[in-house]
Amino acid sequence: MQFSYEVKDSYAEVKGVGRLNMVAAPKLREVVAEVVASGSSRVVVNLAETDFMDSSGLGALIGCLKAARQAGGDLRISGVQPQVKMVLELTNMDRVLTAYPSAEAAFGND
Amino acid sequence: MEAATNSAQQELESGASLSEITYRVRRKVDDAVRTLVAADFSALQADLEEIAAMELAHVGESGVTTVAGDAVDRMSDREWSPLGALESVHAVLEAISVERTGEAQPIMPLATISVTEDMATAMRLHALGWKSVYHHEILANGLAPEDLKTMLTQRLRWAQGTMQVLLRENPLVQRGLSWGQRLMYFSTMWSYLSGFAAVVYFAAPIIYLTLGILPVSSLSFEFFVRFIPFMVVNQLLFLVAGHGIPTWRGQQYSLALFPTWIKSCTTAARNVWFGRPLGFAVTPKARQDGGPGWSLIRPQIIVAVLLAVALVAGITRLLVGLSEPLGTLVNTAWVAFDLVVLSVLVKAVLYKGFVPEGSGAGENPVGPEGPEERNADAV
Repeated sequence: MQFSYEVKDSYAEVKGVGRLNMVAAPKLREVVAEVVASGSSRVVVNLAETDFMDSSGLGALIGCLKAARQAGGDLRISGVQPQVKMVLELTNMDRVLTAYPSAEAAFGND
Repeated sequence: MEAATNSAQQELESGASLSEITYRVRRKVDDAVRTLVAADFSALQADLEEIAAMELAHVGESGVTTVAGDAVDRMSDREWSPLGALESVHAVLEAISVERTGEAQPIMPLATISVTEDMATAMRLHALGWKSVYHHEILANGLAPEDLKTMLTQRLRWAQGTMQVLLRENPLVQRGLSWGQRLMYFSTMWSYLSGFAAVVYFAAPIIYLTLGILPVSSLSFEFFVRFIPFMVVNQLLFLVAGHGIPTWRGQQYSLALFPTWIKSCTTAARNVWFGRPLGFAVTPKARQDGGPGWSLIRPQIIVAVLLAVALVAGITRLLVGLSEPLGTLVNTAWVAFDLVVLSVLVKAVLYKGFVPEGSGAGENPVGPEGPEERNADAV
């Protein structure tokens, strides 16, 4: 899985392309830690091109949420695909991570 | 994973059963997956609690969201397993799987024309040129009915489904089937018409013993020379085809369940030709409560009573000289045979369910044999 990030005006967008699985999860943690360390604690993880997520991927997302909150910011997700949506719903994590339609909309109102 | 495949390799070399080896590998892999997923979720839950604690410090309100109780089970599913990320693991699991769903996908053979879709599907696959082989290992255990009502429901459904296939896709005219296959499938279906023949079979001795009318023009040498070889060959065939497994109970049921076979023919014909509902019933998986269900076999009880009355009438007629000895003897033996056949139902009605061996077990009267020749499932 390939990750890239871009720092925008009020937030940083992390984009992942591929499968967010056991191999990709540690990479996501690294990328988000790097983004937060560089000073952007408001992070949007754009999942529009992430077609699969397993339990380790979900664990990484929540771990990243914790890292962002600890730095005084927040982590939000956008562009959630069907399988990822199902995983979020089945595990109750849709109540922790609200899915936004796009990265721009994620911090649109605050 | 490596340990599991290594020990599987050793077992394979020492000649252990293939299905058990692959089963054990799968079990070990499943356990490993569950451990992984459970570890992910316990770390995740700890993070959630930390997040909630932070919120409590900042905004003064908090509530820990907990991971859904069955999350570990759901996320350990083969499709979603984190181990699937490792290509080599994925390849091993694929290689030991007996399923070949990729082969079925392009031809979509699953038949939906019948409530016995397994048989209808098998026939289509055979017609497409696929072969079936006998596999001498138990891969799945089915539930057998534990009471008469359940068994009758199951047999009715089997018979209805089989008749639906006969009426919708007559095996005799299916392109691609060999003539042997056509005849085999046809005989499976044909056998359910025996319900109508059974009515004649029961009526004939009753009519002779009470009214003196023979179903054949004479009980002469000419009759027996045709009848006896037929009966002998018939019984020999059961002996050979049964491979030493007793077929008597199957013969009893194939005659005694005649009301079920008749009902299956009439309901299936109404369904296929006039679009009426079949009255499809799923076989209950647990023993049904309630006392002995004598009402379930009312037609058979009526037949048994008529046979007994005919027996008394026949002997009376003989004593007063109204009928001849040979005819009375043959028909008395016939009635006795019918009553012995029907007696299997008494045992079935009184059956109290399966008791495991060692606790005073009775044998299971609901045998898998029958004219239907189906012993695959109890669904």
